Amino acid sequence: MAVADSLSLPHELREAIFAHAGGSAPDEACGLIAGRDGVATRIIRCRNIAEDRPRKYLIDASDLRRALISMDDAGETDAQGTRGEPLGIYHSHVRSRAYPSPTDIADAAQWPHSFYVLVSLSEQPAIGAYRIRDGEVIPVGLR
Amino acid sequence: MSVTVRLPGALRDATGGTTKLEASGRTLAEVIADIERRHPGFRDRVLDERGRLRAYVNVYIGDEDARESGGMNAPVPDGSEVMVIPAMAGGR
Amino acid sequence: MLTADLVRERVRGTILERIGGTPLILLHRIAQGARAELWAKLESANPGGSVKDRPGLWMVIAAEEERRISGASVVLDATSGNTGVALALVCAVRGHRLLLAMPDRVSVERKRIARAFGAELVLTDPLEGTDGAIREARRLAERDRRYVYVDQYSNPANPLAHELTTGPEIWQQTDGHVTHVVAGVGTSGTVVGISKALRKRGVRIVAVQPDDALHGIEGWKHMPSALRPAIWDERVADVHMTESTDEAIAMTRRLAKEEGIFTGPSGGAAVAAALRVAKEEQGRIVVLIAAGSPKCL
Repeated sequence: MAVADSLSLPHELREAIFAHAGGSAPDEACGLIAGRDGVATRIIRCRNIAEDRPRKYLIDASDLRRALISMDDAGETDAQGTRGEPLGIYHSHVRSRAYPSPTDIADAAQWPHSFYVLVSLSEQPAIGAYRIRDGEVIPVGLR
Repeated sequence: MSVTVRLPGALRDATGGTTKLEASGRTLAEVIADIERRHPGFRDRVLDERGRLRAYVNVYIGDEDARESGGMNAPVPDGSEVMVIPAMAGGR
Repeated sequence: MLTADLVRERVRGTILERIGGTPLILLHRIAQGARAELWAKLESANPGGSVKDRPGLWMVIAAEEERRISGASVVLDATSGNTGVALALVCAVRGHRLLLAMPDRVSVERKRIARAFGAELVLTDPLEGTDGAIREARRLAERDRRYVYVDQYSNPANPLAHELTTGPEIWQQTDGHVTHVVAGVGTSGTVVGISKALRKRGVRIVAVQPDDALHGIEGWKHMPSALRPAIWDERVADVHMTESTDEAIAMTRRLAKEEGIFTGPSGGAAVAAALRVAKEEQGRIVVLIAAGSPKCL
């Protein structure tokens, strides 16, 4: 099983994530990144159904389910190489930097095998990628 | 009543690495109990001390959210697919 | 015109004397097998923790010499990064009030550092980013003459600091044997200033930028897509290179493990670019590591 420690995220996908983020402001945008062998090939925009959308995100579970099924059908894999799991999960921070918050770190326990991609609408650098394992944030490269 | 249960990567370690398994039961509660028999400790990962689904765990039976069709008593038709999907969330 | 002697004279006996004179460290392991020697100039050794201490000091002293700062003045700039820390340090010692415009944010660490030095903050609309902070600084400066807007992106004292300190230090520390200098482009003051000092002595100047407008390299600018600093001129460099966030992060890990040097992505990216040069060309290469501490990791 290939273990990817950096994420290949082509410019067009970064732009698409950023556009989703800008268009969702002041709410946080969220979605999935699908691909294989550490190379992202598409993003899946999801609905944020959190109560407090400017400060939190909660991906609609039926969107998530549909996305996971399509990833399985397409043979797409997560960072560990497992089929049918998201390569990455993205969301935006409207008022803070592109770094996982304590809430992000806690909630990441449910999806430990994906890259976490954050974009910031207020800070530079505008994008960051991480693995979050056992409460620890590990910055990873973006190519 | 035999069903296919799909589990997320986060629960892999509770079932010895398996993310897709067969289980039997007529309700969600029975299916979970069946898996627990074969993989002790699984139940605690998805249910709280009172036996209810943990807040951050979603379960789909076919394309229905189990919470909307009876929760733990939700019927699980023969041959259906049960999918456990943890919440995907965060904040700033 | 400011000179290094004049600035040194002004800050004698204070912690500001420690700005500059940063060490040059040979990267033994990382450059093993390369054709050139690779030396890192560790700007994290500055008292404020980054290369920005140099332009921070020079911009304030320049304003003092030009009689722009009086007892009622408030030094002003738009920055939440290392320049803010540098200005806060300098203004604390020089006894000036300082106002920093920065986008509103949750992380309190930078606010805390600035306030610890006595700086005041004006928090701007986060949706407008750094541009919003710059606009606010300009607005304040136009409306109220007490504000002395030092504007690191346009202030000639920024590249001058590098022309008269960083560049000459590199020359002296290598006994004139430096063949290439590699530096990242943020405000571009470092590259512009070092080029002025050393290009005429036959040193090749290598400027490095991120490879994508949406990048994870703190402090650097992807010039084709960013707001262009007034002081920048592409022609000051002989070679323009780009680095990905991936190479930057990978190199920060190597620097810590193999050389005991802590830095963030900008240091990693600069060294990654410098290593590529070291593999192709012979000579003595100096790469600038702008900032860094164990907290980076």
